[in-house]
Amino acid sequence: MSENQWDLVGKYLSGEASAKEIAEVEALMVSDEPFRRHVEESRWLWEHSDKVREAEEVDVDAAWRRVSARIDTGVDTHAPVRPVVSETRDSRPRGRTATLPAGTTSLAAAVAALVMLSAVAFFFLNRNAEDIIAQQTGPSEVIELELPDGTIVTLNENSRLSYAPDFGTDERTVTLSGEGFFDVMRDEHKPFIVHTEALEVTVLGTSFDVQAYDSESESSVVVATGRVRVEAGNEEVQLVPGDMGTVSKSNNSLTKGKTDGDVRNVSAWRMKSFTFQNEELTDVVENLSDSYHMDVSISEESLKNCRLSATFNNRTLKEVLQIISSTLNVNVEKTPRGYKLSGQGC
Amino acid sequence: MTLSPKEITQKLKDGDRKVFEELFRMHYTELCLFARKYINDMEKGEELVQDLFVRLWEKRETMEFSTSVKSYLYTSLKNACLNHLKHLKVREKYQQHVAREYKDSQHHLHDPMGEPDFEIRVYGAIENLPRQCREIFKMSRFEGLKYREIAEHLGVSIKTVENQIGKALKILRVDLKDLMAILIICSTW
Repeated sequence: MSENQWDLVGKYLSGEASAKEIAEVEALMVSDEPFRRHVEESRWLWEHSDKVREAEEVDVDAAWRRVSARIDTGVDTHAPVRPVVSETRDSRPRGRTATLPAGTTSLAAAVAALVMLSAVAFFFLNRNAEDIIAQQTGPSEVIELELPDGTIVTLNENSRLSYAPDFGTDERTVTLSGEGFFDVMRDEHKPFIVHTEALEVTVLGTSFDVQAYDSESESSVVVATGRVRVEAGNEEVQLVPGDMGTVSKSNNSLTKGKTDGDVRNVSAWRMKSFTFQNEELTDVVENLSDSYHMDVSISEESLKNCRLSATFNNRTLKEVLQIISSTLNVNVEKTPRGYKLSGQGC
Repeated sequence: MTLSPKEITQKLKDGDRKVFEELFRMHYTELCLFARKYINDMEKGEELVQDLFVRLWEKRETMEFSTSVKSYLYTSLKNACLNHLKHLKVREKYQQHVAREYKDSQHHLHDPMGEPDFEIRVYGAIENLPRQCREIFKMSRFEGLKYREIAEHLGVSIKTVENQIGKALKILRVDLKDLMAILIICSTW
């Protein structure tokens, strides 16, 4: 196709062609098959190039300045900072940040993630009896953490969990603001107690969901397995799976009812979804560690190149690893801060 | 920058900020387009990509990249997008249809070509056009300017504008030939 013909196609597509030129293009499309194909392809290209128009508005320089600043200072200069690392015993848990400027939510989430990492570091560096260990999530952030007794807590967005460094020595007490799902390690000698502003939950070994956002007028507890006791003011109820205990903050009354719908949906927020397509186990593990905020490692070099194709929907980390374990024939072992995979290789 | 993926990984681990910046500038826009494909929100996509780079930098020393940093970026971003979608759904957690809706959204994510990044290819091809050619093509296509307006704006003849648009089409077609072959066959089915 000659250069003149390309110019003609350009005019035709951009609406610059005269009536005579349009007729010329259309006649050529009938008589000249390669020409017709070129026009069709160019038309496709012309139409689809519009979809990348938005890329034009991306300001890479501004984005780089922002990322650069976040790296240097550890905070996002454009987003509000949530300084929660460690607090003394008598300070009140923070409520959720209600007014964020539009568009900053996930930036704040990233900041919270960084803050959380530093909180972990702080925990190991400063073990002071008077300090309370705290974990806080930002908007859109869900983390899974393991307490010293092996209890797994999944913390929903905008939530905060704290406990004393001597947790587990005499008692197992945590303080929650926001929402958390607790899978409690059984220990009949040391009841597990969750304090919130409005209620207190006592259990031996079970799993349940507590929702206690400061900004909401009701707090609730839903039981997935086992039996729990909920106290609020002078009242007390026992809950079994499917039950929901609710405390209204206005009159401080405690009521017991049934959950609407499936119990599983109550804690659906703690599940995550992934798709892996023929990806190396190292990448998979890196992704899982990142998303669940747990330490997942591979012990044998030979395992690292195993490839995995899988879609995980609504799974906890443990479930995901069990599936990987049976698919790739690897062993999954619990470690203090997560899981370790071992095996023969693929 | 002509470093091999291995060299990039090593320099990154060593804390080479220049390489990190190059990596960022090279992939940022494409990653944003990639994210938009999943979550249909350019602004949110930019946030996810920025979070991703901050995390990459924070964790560079301990991170293991089996193939390349680039494949890490795309895999992580894809999962960040899926989890973002998931999160949107989870907000309606007491509603029974959550699971079904999520399934539907998953369905959209499956690109029939198995190539979710064809927009990235188109974007990349446009960016690779010779400077004047690219400038004129964008003014016509993205800003909707008439040939005459482009010519006046750039101080060139209308004939030059015609030639450059024709040239752009010719180059783009060659660059994206494989992509167009698939798509055109599919659209005629």
